[in-house]
Amino acid sequence: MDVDIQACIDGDPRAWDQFVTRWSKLIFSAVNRAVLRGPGAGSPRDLVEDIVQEVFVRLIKDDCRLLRTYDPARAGLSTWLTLVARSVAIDRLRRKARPVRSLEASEETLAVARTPEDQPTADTPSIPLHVLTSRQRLVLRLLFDEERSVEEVARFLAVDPQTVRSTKHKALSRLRAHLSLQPESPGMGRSG
Amino acid sequence: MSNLLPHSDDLDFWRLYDTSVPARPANVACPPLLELAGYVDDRLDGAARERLEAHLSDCLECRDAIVHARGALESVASSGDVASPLAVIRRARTLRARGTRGRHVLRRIGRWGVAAAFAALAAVGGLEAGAATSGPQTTVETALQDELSFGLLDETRFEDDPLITWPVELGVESGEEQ
Ligand SMILES: [Zn+2]
Repeated sequence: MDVDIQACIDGDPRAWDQFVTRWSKLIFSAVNRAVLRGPGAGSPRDLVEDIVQEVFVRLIKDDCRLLRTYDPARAGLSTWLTLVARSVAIDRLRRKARPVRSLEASEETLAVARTPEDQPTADTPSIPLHVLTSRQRLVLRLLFDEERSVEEVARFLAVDPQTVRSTKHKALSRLRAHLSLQPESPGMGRSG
Repeated sequence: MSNLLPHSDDLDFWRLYDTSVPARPANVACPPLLELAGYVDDRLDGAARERLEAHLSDCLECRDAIVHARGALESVASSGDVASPLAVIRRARTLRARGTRGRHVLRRIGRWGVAAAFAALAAVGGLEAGAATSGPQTTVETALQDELSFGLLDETRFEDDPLITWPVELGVESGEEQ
């Protein structure tokens, strides 16, 4: 079912009904997923339903300001709505945790901050990530910082697992080659 | 050269170094959601993709958004997910014309008479003194609070008449008319 977004923006109630019917399941699912992974235990049904409603409110508030930013040439509506739903959910969860914070729903509002538990000490040398390409850095972050599997990283990048393995290999080789020129590096110390 | 360096587990090697970055890079705006969505849908050209991946490599929050989006889309596509809750649908439908401009809304509400609409809202506690007079109601909290209060009204009352706008709009939109 194709829903006429412009008709929703124009205030056509039937188009809005169709929009809600078409996308509520996806939005519900995206919110549910975000709540499950957010701070606090469980996924209370009432909270999820409230957030789903808030997603719809945000899409059309201020003369559909948010909905108007959607451009079908740049991304699928389902993907964009999923990201909007997550963003609203995380905003709400943060607000719950810190009620004083002022909240203006913005397109850029994103995600939950996860602080690494094992902070490096002050004398830990920085890894020279600047010698890597963006893709290589991203692969290493996903594999090592987030400890995702090769398959998960492949899904993230929409490539096959072999490409991930090869990117990882090239990235580490490049890092090691760079570090081997620096006698102070801990890698050198350990091996020598 | 790499034979001079430890060949232990790659992860151990990584952990010898400080690889930490803030969850979101300082002084750098995260890309718009539409761009992240374009990445997920593989709609970015080579340069835009590389630019975004550079951001992703430094931004845990955006990486998390990508992972979440892919997971949620797959989950819905596989239909093994939660059912679409009817209560949620009915509730969202009551918002239907809220996104229209205030003038438009008031013109349609004129069918009832603004006074009658206010009276109806006051009757269900939708227009508490604070909500009605606290200035422009631009915050999401207020909009949602309005919606929740007004949700007490019978939402099916005008379901089939597209010309009659649900009075929920008045509380949110009337501020624009001042
Ligand atoms: Zn970011």
